Amino acid sequence: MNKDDVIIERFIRKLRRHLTVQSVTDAAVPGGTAGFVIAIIISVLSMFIPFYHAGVCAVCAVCICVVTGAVYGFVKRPSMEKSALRADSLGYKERLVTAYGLAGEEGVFADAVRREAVAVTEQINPGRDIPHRVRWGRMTVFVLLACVFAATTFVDTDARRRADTMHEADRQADALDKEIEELSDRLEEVSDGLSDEELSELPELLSDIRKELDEADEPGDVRDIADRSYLKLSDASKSLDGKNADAAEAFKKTADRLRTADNAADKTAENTDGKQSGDNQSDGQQTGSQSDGNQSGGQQSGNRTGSSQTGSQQTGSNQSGSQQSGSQTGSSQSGNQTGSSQAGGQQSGGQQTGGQQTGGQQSGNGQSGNGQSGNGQSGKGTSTGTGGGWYSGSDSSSERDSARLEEVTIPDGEIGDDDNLTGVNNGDGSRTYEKSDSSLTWSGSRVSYGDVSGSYREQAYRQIDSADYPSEMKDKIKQYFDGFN
Amino acid sequence: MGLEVKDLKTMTDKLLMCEQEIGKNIIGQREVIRQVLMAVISDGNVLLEGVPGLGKTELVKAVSRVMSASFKRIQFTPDLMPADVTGTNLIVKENGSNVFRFRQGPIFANIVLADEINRATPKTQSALLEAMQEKTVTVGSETYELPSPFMVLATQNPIENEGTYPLPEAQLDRFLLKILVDFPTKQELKEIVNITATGERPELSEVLGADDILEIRKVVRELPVSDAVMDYAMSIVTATHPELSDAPPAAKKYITVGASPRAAQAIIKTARARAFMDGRYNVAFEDIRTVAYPALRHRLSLSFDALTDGVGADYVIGELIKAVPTV
Repeated sequence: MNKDDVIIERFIRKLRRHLTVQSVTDAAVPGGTAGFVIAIIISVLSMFIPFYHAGVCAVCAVCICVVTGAVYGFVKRPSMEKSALRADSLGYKERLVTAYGLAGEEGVFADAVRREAVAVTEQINPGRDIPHRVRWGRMTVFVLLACVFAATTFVDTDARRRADTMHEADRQADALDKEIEELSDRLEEVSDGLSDEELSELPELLSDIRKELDEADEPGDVRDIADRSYLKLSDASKSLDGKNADAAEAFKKTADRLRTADNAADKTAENTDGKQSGDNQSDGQQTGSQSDGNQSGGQQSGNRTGSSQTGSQQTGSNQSGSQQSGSQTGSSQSGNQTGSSQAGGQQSGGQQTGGQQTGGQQSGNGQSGNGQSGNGQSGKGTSTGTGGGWYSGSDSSSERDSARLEEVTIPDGEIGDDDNLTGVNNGDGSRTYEKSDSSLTWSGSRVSYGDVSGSYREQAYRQIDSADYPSEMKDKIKQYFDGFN
Repeated sequence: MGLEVKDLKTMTDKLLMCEQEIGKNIIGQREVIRQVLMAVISDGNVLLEGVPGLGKTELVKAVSRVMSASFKRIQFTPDLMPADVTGTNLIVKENGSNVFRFRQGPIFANIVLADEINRATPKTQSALLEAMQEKTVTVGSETYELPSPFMVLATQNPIENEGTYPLPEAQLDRFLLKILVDFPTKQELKEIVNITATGERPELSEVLGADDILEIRKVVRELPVSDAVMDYAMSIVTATHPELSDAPPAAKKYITVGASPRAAQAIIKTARARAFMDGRYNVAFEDIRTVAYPALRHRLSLSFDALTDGVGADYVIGELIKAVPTV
């Protein structure tokens, strides 16, 4: 190649780079447009179908389409020959492309064409003579779709809130599942001294827990499973104690970790629910100062009622608010909690977020008027009002924190203040109650919940077996009691 | 070749001088003159078509005059025989005995004017086939070389169906270009009348010799054509074939038989000649587009649809050019 050939090739290469930018842009914009169409579809679907990763998927779709378009544009960029032709199209009568094809060749025509082509390279400035063109139509569509997509991502719907909740549940369930899996592995390592029955039952127990975790789609479900699993693992640990210390220790450690995880999940759920509650409140009549959490229970009640939150999740918030109003009776509170189950408990906790509702305040504001059990409140005041689900109606309903699940206070008929547990209110300040001779505990004492639950279940089973119920109904009733664990 | 760029320029200048000289005698028709010269330096035969009186014969005569080449004219008539064109073996007495001696016909010249070629019978027209393609003539068992350079410049009238024999496709295909001679403009007509009224025709000087023509032909054949331009030319030729799946709609509708490979050769050869006469050393898309009309118009068999729609070959070629992208 002589000097002219080098000049020509360098020029065409430069021109090609210039054209490549155009090609990439031309392809990336339609790619991005297609990506935004997909993103909008995903985003709109996520308004109605819970899909936590919709946003990420949508953004990924846009990115992938843009990149695909850009890559396509790069692959389809003009060849050196086409780049030369592009320059020739400015009126140079294919001199450049001919000269490029004659590179390295000798002859009078080759020399003449090369000389003319070099002159052409001196006359053409790619940036000036072949400016990048903006396809305004495509750009407009691209920007419009981007705006539509952005708008759809800000729409708050039940499905999206539900997706957040389910995702949180999945995350918690995964963490717990990992713990159980580790325990399962550990159990295989330290299975010495275990009976055949234990060797078959314990893995089955762990498998059942994992199965339950797989099916959980609400943080409340996960918490309940964690609660039950904690009890089961604690029981298992106790039963293993003395037979296989390592296995017992492993079960105990996992149980403790589950409890820790459960507490963390509670806090997370409270934060999440609090956020939801706060959002809902801000939709209604509550002002920003209210969300700072300085209001009394009564104020919250009025405002929250006015906010008229909708949706099943939000109903819990209202319930919680009404509980704190102090105007509701204890029974209605119990009903609320029971009805709301996990949701009610969560929502209530959520409203308490913001730090304003300390245990002391709770006791004074809402709970005192409700006549809830003072047992749970005392000493564990910070969790007042968060009780939900299957603990409702008992002391545990107001005790969702560290004391929960550990012990159950056996009500004392004379000093207890829970209408449901201390007999029938006679209306004259006295109550009628009975003391069972077959009680396993003493009044006023505290026993572990597991013991109570287990005994209660066994007794229920015995009665069910001896009763004249249809067999399928017996199973249903047993399932109900199984649910307590 | 041992040539330099200045030698190329000299050749181009000679051709342009030829053009100017012919232009002294033929008023207007600049593009026709140029196309005839393109055919001359492309080593091809030309079919000139136009109504009577447009100076077709005069143009050919002018071309022969500026080229200092031997020139013969054959007036084609229905009773013209092949031997009248090619020559024949005659019995002559030599040294007291009768022997056959070949007597050359008018075809033995550098430039042959086949005037009103479509008036002769196909048999006689076919006598030109070998001469036009092979540059030889075969009489009896002997084949005779024609002088070099050799080219046939034929004329025909488009409207005279009476007593004419349409040229067969094989014959038409051997014409490099079919050049349409149009009626002159008003101004040109005025000049023609002024010149002919005096009875004095301008003297034309010889610009090109036979050797010059041969050398220019040799040089022009070397003129480079880029792949892109070559592809474009081939695309146009293939676009004339309606049987191809990707043929343009115009081809499918108006063409029954597409152009032969000779058409592709003709386009490239004449495009080279055009570029050379234009002072360029490479062929451009524009050259291909320009020469496609004269190179293709006599090579397309148009369909009945074209006839009923009043569509001519030039219109179809224009549509094909529009349909074929350059890149």
